[in-house]
This record gives sequence, C-alpha cells and structure tokens, in this order.
Amino acid sequence: MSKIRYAMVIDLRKCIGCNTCSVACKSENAVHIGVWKSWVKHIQKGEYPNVSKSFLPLLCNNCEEPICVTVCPVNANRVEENGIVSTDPHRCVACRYCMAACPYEVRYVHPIKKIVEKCNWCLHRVKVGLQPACVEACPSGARIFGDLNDPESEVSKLLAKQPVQVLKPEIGTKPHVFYINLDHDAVEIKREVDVL
Amino acid sequence: MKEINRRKFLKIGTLGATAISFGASFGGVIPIVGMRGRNVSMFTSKFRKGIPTICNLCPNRCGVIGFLRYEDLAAIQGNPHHINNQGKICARGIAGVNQVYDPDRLLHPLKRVGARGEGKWKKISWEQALTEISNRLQTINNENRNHEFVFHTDTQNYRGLARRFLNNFENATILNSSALNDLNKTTAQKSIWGEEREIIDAENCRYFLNFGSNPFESHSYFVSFNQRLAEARINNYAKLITMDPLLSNTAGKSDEWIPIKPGTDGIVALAMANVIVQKGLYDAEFISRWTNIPISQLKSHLSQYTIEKAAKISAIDAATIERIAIEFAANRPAVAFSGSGVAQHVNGFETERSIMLLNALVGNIDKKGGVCLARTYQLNDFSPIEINENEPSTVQFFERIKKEKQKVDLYFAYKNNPVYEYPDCNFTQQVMKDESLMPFTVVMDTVKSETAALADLILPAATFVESWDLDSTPSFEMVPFVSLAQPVIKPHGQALSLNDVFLKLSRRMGESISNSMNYESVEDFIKQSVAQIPGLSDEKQFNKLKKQGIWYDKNANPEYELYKKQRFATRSRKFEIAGSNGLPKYEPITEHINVSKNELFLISYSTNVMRQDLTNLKWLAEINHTNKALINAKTARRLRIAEGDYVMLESEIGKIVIKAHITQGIYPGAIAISKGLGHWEYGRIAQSKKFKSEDPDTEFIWWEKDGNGTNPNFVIPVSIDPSGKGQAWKDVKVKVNKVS
Repeated sequence: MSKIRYAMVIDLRKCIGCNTCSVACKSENAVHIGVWKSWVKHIQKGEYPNVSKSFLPLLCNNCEEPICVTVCPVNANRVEENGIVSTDPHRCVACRYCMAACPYEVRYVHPIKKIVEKCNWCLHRVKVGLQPACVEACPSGARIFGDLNDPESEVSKLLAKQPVQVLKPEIGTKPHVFYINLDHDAVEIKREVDVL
Repeated sequence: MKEINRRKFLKIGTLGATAISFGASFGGVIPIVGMRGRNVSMFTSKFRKGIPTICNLCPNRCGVIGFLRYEDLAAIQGNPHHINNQGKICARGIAGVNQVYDPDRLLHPLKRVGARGEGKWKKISWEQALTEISNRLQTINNENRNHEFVFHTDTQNYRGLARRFLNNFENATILNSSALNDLNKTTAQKSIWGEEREIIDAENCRYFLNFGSNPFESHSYFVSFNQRLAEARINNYAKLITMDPLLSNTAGKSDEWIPIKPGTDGIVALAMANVIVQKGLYDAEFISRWTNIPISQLKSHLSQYTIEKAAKISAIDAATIERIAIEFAANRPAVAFSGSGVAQHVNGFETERSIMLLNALVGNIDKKGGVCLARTYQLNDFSPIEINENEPSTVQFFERIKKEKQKVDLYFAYKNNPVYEYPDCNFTQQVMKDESLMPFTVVMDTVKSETAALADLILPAATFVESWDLDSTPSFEMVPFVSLAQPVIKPHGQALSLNDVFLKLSRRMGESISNSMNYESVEDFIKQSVAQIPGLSDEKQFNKLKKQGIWYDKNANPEYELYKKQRFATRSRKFEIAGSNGLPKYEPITEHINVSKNELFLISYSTNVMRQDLTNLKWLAEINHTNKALINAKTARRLRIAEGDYVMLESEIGKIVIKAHITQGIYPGAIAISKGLGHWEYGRIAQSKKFKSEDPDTEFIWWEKDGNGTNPNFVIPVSIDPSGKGQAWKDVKVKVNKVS
C-alpha cells in the first residue's frame, strides 16, 4: 500500500457561507477569541442589480513544499508521514519566521501560550480515523477530506472528475486544499466585506 | 454519488459507525478516515463518551451528540444516525457549549428586591420560588380566572409535560412567540392545504423558486434543507432563483437574484400563475381532481394579473416574470417557497396563498421533489384540551393589556424576551414595568434578558444538553421518526428544565392538577410517551432510542402522494385554492402610496449565525456582533450619505441612529437592518464588553469598539395582517436622514 497523503477538497458550489466550519474549529481545537485556524471570507461584487456573493473558506493548505518548515530555525514545523504539516508546541520559540513566510497567512500566536499555531487538519482526530471537525460539521457537505493516494477515496474521485484550483499556485508550495469553482475575485480582494 | 442514494448511504454510514464503536482499539493500524459521530481527546487520544440528544436552538431540532470530558460537556457534534440532519450541524448548535458555560448564565432563582427594573435582586431557594408561583396559580384556578394566567413560549416548548400541565388551566392565555415571525405564512398554509408549513423534498427537486426566504442564513429547517438543496443543485442541476429586495447570502449565491420591491411578491406569483394557465402549462389532472376550483374559473380570475401590471408594481421586468414562470412550469419537479420576506408583510397571507397556488398549478404537491406534507409521529397525545393559541393575537397582547381588554395576574415567560423581540420596544417595556397592569411576572431563561430585568421572579432554565424531550420533526427523508433529547450533563448551578418546574409545581397544587401530572419524573413521562408509539412499546426499544437518539421504521420506504389516501386536512378535504377569503389575490400595501423623497422601507432581517437569544455566545458573537443600515449606493448618493455615516431612521413611533453601510446589494427603495443585536441586557458579551471571568476568552473580546449594534424594533410599530393575524414587520416606512 502506498503512503497516505491527505488532502481536502472544498466544493464552493455547495458552500453557503454559514461559518459552521469556523465555529466547529473553535470548539474542537479550543481556539481562543481573536484568532482563527479556519474562517470564511465573504465578498460581494457587481453593480445593482447584477450583484453576487462568494464565500471562501480559508485554512492551512498543508502544502507539499511548505515554506514554514523550511524557515523554522528550531525545526518545530515538520511534515508528518500522512502529509499534514504539524507544529511542535514544545519546540516553537515564537520567532514568527513561519508567520512571515506563510503566503496564506494562516498562522497566529496563541494569546496565552505565546507560541505559533495553525490548522493541522485536526491531526489528533485524523490519527484515530475521524474526519477533521470542520469536515464532519459542514452542513452543505462542501468540505471533503481523504487520502489522495487512495483512488477509491472521495477526494481522489472528485479530483479525477472536477477541475480544481489552489491558492497562489505560482509560489510553488503545492497546496493540498483544492477548491472547486474558486472565484478569482474572492482570492484577490483583500478587504473582507464586514459581516453585517 | 447519484448511484448510491442518500438512504442507502446513510445505512452504510450507520453500519460503519457501529462496527467501529465495538471494534475497540486500533492497535497501531491507521484506519481509513471517515468514521463519524465520535470525538477524541487531543491529549490522551481516547474516545470521549458521547450521549445523543437533540438541539433545540431552532425548529429543525438536529440530532446531536454531547461529548463528555469527565463531568463536563466537551463538544457538541452532529448525530450521524439522525436521518434529518445526517450528522451535520450548524454553528449555532456547536456553540451550544457556550450556552452551558456562559459566564453570565443564571444559576439561581432570583427575586426582585428594589423597584421593578431597578436591578436589585436577592437569591432565593427553588422552594420559595415555586411556593410563590403555585400559591398564585392555585388562587387563579380556584377563582376561575384562568385567562389571567399568561404563559409565553413558542411551539417547540409548548408540548409534552408543559402542555399537559397547562391543559389544567382551561382558557389560560397561551402566547406563542413563533407567531411573531411567520404566523401569516402558517395561517395561509393551513387554510390552503391544512399543513403548517411546506416540507420541500429538496434532494429530488430540479427548480427552486424562492420568494423572500434566506435558507443559507436562517431557516426553520436550516441543516436539513440546506444539505439537500446543495446536493440538488449539483446532482440534479437544479436552479435556484431568489426574489428578495436584499442580497442575502442565499440571493448572492443563487443562480439569479431578482431584486423586488418589498411586499409585492404576491402580484409576481399571480402573474406567473397567469402565464402558466394561459400557456396551458398546468397540471390539469391535479387541478380538476384535487383542488376546489375548475380551471376555467381560475383562468378568468388570474387574467387580471398581467405580467405588465406585475412589472409595474414589483419593479421586475415583464419578460423576466414570463421567462421564470415558463422555466418553473417546464423544469419539474419544481417548488415555489417563501420565507419571512413574504410572511412579514401586511398582505403576507394572500401572498403565501398565491405562492402555494403556483405549486398546485404544476401539480408538485406531495410528489417526489415537490412540496410535501409533514411526515411525523403524534407525540404525547393525551387528548389535550384545545387551547385557542392565537386568540387573542400574541402580537397584540401588550396592546390589549394596556387597553384593559385583557387582565393579567400571573405572567410566565419561558425563554422568551418580548421586551426586546416585540415590535415597539418602548411600549412593551412600559407595559411590563407597570405593576397595575402586570402584577406578577416570572421569567425563566438561561441569561438575564431585557424582559427578565423587568420581572419579579427570575428562574434559571436548563439548556438543551441538560433536559429531556421527545420530538418528531417533519422528516426530510419522507419516513417519520422519533428522536429523544436526554441530559448529557447535570444542569449547571440550580438550573431546571421547564418540565421539571411544572412537575414540581403540580405537586404543590390541588388534586385535580397533581393527578394529571402523576409521573415520578420527567424521564418517566418521556418513557410513557414513547411507549405509546407503535413499534416502540417495550423497555428494550426505549433503551435503544436512548443509545441512538433516534428511531424510525427501518423497513419503511418514502411514500408520496399521501393525499390520495388521506386527502387534505381542509374543510372540503381538497387543496383549497378557493378559500374563505376567495381566490388568492394581490392586496396592495397602503404604505406604498405617497412615499416622500427621503423615505425608505425598512427591512429587518435575520442573519447568519446570530439570533436574539444567542448573542451572549462568544463564538457566534465574534462572527456577528454589530449591525449597520444597508443602503443602496444610488440612494445613498441621493441622500448624501457616505459609508460609515450615522443616519437617523424615524418612523411614526420612534427613531434610531445607526451607522450606514453602502452596498449594491439592495433594492434602492429599501433600507435593511439585521435583527437580534443591540441588546441592553442579556449578558456582557451581548453588549460587546471585555471583562475578566473564569473563561480567559472574555478578556480577548476585540469588538468593543464596534459596539453591539442597534435593535430596529424601536421603530417598528405593531401592525397586523387582518387575514393572517401575524405581525407585518417589513412594511415600515422610515425617514432617513444623515446625522451631522
């Protein structure tokens, strides 16, 4: 059997922008107020009456070529056997090099422990056969998680069938969060429309 | 995914979960990720004990599992055995954990010591609180003044043991706050086909015609409906058309957003019906056999609603109305459905009937992929005394008190906050404060609401993970089920569930009442209720229900067109297009006449994540804690309002000041403010305050400077649709001026 390589597909055709993933993550990983491992960007575009909305759920891409791992001076970041990029809380010295290096801005400093954290696809859950909390909760089933090397997994089947995009492919990090129907504007627009 | 249908998939999923739960440890082998309905500790990697229950934060009542960390609630996840929500859950349900450990949660009964509303309280024992209430109730009952006992709750909580207790008080005034939101819709639905609301078989549907509903943010069946809608849009290539004055999340992600002038959905629906009839695209068999009107008569009635006339009134162009009507009739199964954008108008009743007419015209009634009858089990049916719930109208209740048409001795509100939630907050506040009108008020809630602040007695309520309940929500798999809520943890502090309170009260009262509540405990009552359901009668079944959280007949298959067997629950036993008010018609809204230059129609709408009773939950408040007034960019330019300016909204009853947000996503004649924010009680998080508590998170609150928003109800007067009897929230004309 080949090695496991986990990946996530986010089917934006199904995403309804309900923020369940954001809250599921807060609950599962005890993420404090003020910081996020997973969140949803809401944008609105067009001119009345031709206006539409896009939602872009964001989280760590658990890249194939993670810059955060390369830059870490204390080897706190590493790629697990299953492809997930993890952070060792005991090694981290909070130098924030990884935060500066990450092109996706998914890292933050834990407000109490003062170490750097990010989404690790609920590694503790995945290890025992559970899906990440956001995937299990997503009410519209927009998030799909599984093994890229298993042709029978739902992610493999979707990737074989659907055109997918990744964020900032030009950087060469080879992200492993694949989006179906990614809206270019949702990626480009910096300013998030306030939640109203 | 089309090959495996949802039901099969569910069975496989359930099987997998059970197999693994008995499979003990994994012995180093990494299992395939996919197991659901379990939770693991991050530090010990041990599976947590989970107890299935049901969420009661919205009417969808998802099956959930509460996971334990020793004695505490660690997390809430979806229950994969549950056929409605399929193990999915929403942000509100997950944040139920916050509700349990809310730093501002009420933990003891409190009695007022200062003047009413002064904010001085004394902790008292349950003993004392219950004695005070039961003495009053006994006197009321003995003196035959039951109508002076007012119980204020919603449909979800007015059942089971609570209902049984209240049945002892014939003629008691029961206020149902569910009526506040969509009474016009439910009355219209009842009048036309005997159902309270349509259940959409979304999974099999091919065309969704949405009038003013916002399922992506707020819906009665949020999780159940959305997941099937999302699948239908991909698997069936279903189209979603949304007509709404506001670009809600639903509208923004629909295939088409058609902005419409508020309150004119009715004429659009009727014009579409006209197109369908004129072009002969209707289901002739359904109309002739199952409705109470011949097509010829319908045709001549509808001929007055031309697309040109509808276009003029609704601001949608005639060609679009015609095109959508044809698409709707051609892409069957198609459904037309509505939301608060329809129900909360003064013509809501007739509009709802017009929309249901569209469904009848294409014959998609109780068909695969159509609008379906509710498949449920009758629960706790101990032949209760029929109480006329909405007469006098719930909305006009405080007006009736003020006019002394209604006398009150004891007012008891359970998880209800009329002072904040009702139209015209100042007026409601004034009545609640007046001791001559409201001599004794009891409020039972989890946090101190605005209404509780004006009460004489506050009782701490248990949350849904601390109570028993039995439920049978309409099934989206078209096979009825029963689900069980059971305590996952012991109630915090001295909190009690409503059923417990009523059980304890009944024991302090005369024989006639205590005999009717002859149960050892709430669990005992639930057990006996379960035993009445065929197929669930023995103890073994009850234990299984406790373990799984849900029970349904595994051999049952979805059956459609039930009306062919049981007919409709209307007077004529038919689908009554011709009702007691005649055929569906368009009633113009009087506010639409004489609109001056700076007047806009105020739309108060429900948003994603938030609701008035969830504002003190930290995870939700972080996402949604403040609101602004949404104004169309062109209108804003005309009124010289810029982004972030403060604007004053003035109606006939009051004014509010709020920050403006300029957007392209709203009809130019409307202004929108979200509901549920702007609390002046309800805990400190609800007021966007940073504070020290046991939970370190409360010190990290970063949105103090954003404020906690504005409650639009200060400018919304009481206004009733005479046919539907429900509040018309969205017909308020406000003068909008920049505050300089």
